[in-house]
Amino acid sequence: MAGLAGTGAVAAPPELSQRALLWRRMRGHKGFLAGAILLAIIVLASVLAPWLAPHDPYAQDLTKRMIPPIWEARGQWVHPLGTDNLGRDYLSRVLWGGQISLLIGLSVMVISGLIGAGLGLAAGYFGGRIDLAITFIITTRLALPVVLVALAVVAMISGSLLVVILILGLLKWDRFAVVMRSATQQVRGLDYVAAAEAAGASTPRIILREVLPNVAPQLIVVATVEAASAILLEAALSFLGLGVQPPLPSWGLMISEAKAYMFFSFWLIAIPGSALALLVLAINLVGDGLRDVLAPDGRA
Amino acid sequence: MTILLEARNVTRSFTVSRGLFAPKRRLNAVNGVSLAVEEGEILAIVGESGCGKSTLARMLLGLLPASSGEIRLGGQDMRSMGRLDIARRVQPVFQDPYSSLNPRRRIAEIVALPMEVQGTADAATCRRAALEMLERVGLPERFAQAYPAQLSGGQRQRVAIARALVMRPELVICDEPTSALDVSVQSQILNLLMDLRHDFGITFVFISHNLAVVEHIASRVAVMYLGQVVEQAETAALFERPRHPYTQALLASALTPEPGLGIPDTGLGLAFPDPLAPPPGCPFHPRCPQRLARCDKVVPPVFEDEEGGRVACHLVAQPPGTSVTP
Repeated sequence: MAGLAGTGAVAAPPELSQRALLWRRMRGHKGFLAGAILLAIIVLASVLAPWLAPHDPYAQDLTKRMIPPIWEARGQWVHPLGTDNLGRDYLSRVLWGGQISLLIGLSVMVISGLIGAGLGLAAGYFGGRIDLAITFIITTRLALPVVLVALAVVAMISGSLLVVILILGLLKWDRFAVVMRSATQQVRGLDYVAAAEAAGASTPRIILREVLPNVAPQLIVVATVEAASAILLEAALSFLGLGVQPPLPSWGLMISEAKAYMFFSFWLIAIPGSALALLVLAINLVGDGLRDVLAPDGRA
Repeated sequence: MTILLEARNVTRSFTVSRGLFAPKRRLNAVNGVSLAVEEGEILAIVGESGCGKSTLARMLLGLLPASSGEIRLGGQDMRSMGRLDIARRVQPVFQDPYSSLNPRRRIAEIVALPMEVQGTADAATCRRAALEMLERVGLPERFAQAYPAQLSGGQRQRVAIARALVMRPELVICDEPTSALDVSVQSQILNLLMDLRHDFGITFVFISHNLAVVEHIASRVAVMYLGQVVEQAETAALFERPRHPYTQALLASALTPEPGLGIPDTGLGLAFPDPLAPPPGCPFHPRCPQRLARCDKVVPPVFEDEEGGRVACHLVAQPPGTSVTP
């Protein structure tokens, strides 16, 4: 240690841990906070639908068709959001419908995320021929219009919840792949990857422990955006009658069933429409906020 | 003296594509380099940007295979050695301590990594070794749980050095270890490296373009130009009697702290040749102030003098002033 004397005072690092810092930044971000609270409410309401919903969402009662919600003149407290054209309780259907939207958003995100992130990481890390091949696959996929392909496939093998999830999951990995590829390329060239290689670490270990944690922020942001877009696509497919099949209470399907009554019973289309808009808004706010919050280290 | 690391006629070429239909071209980043690193010495490799220093360093680390030629570590061909075997014996210290530490890992984890991947020690042993090494490079235990973002450049470079030394390698390859640091911190890091070299008996390959540092610490210097080693000599001999015109220009280009001397003129002009189309004959001839008639046709052979210095230059065989015999 003799030679180290006079090598300068070594200042203590700041006290805040990375986690505490992250938490503080999250609380300071208004958009993220609003989105997170809204999303939490929607998730809770949907998950607790079996206990919260006042009625069976499938129970029809033709004597109680088209009861308007309580803020209209003929509203009844038994059906706070009214009933649809088959006399089913609208509040219960909206709550149960949230489960379907969330299920689709989540599972499509997981399936497409695994495919896209895997391809993107491989292309960005290995480069060369592997990159060329994967870029070709990505370009091919980008040339396919998602809605059109989804419509064609559903028309051929008929729609169901599972089919919709699989189709969207197998189609929507492109953004994951593109973003992960370029993020990985950047990290790949950094010296800490070379240092891990020089330390003798195996390739899977380098990808999982050196590269992946450093591209995770981008991955999370893409995942939220993709979940929101999958929810919207499911609604669109269901609206066209090619997604989730009746009598399942999907929000897209509810909008579709309500369109015939749009001019006389506006709430039928407005309620599931607003629910959908709020959910997508919440997810996008969270994604946007995460992008800011997870941004470069040391920017605090 | 035993030879620890030896490069024999090592070449590394890259294929450069210029679009789909243009013909691919080869770039020889390192072209027929032969070097020997003796146990316990500090071999400095100097040369201007783009001359292939870093590519050579990556090959010596075993990160990049040589296109031709061989690199022998302790008498054994590196290609026949496993990744972990090489890692145990050769470790790097990189130039930029801001990109050489994973920002998502704690300092202790970063330092323990080379030991951890060997798979021979349990987590507690790795951690203890990491803490010990951190202490040794001047970082007390409270840094162990910090992240790189919380450290200064000099502290980060200490972490990088601790990581390189945690497995007690025989050879450390430093790729410009101080050029990204503040001047005030540079000497601290150099002193630390020299201390550790003394204590652990490490051999260094020291890549740099800071000639003052090289003169101060290196025992031997190899000068690279356009992928080739043009001169190699003991440090004192090289700085007193530079024989290759490029070495002379390089030494003339070093800035002095003396005010009023202005910025030195190398007499080389600005044009670094296109490495995709290297000049024929001696690679240095287009910029050489003393070139002879045959320099643009004949590749100069390597002349070895009695002190072990090597120069690849026609001038050595035919000092200037003597008549040119075709």
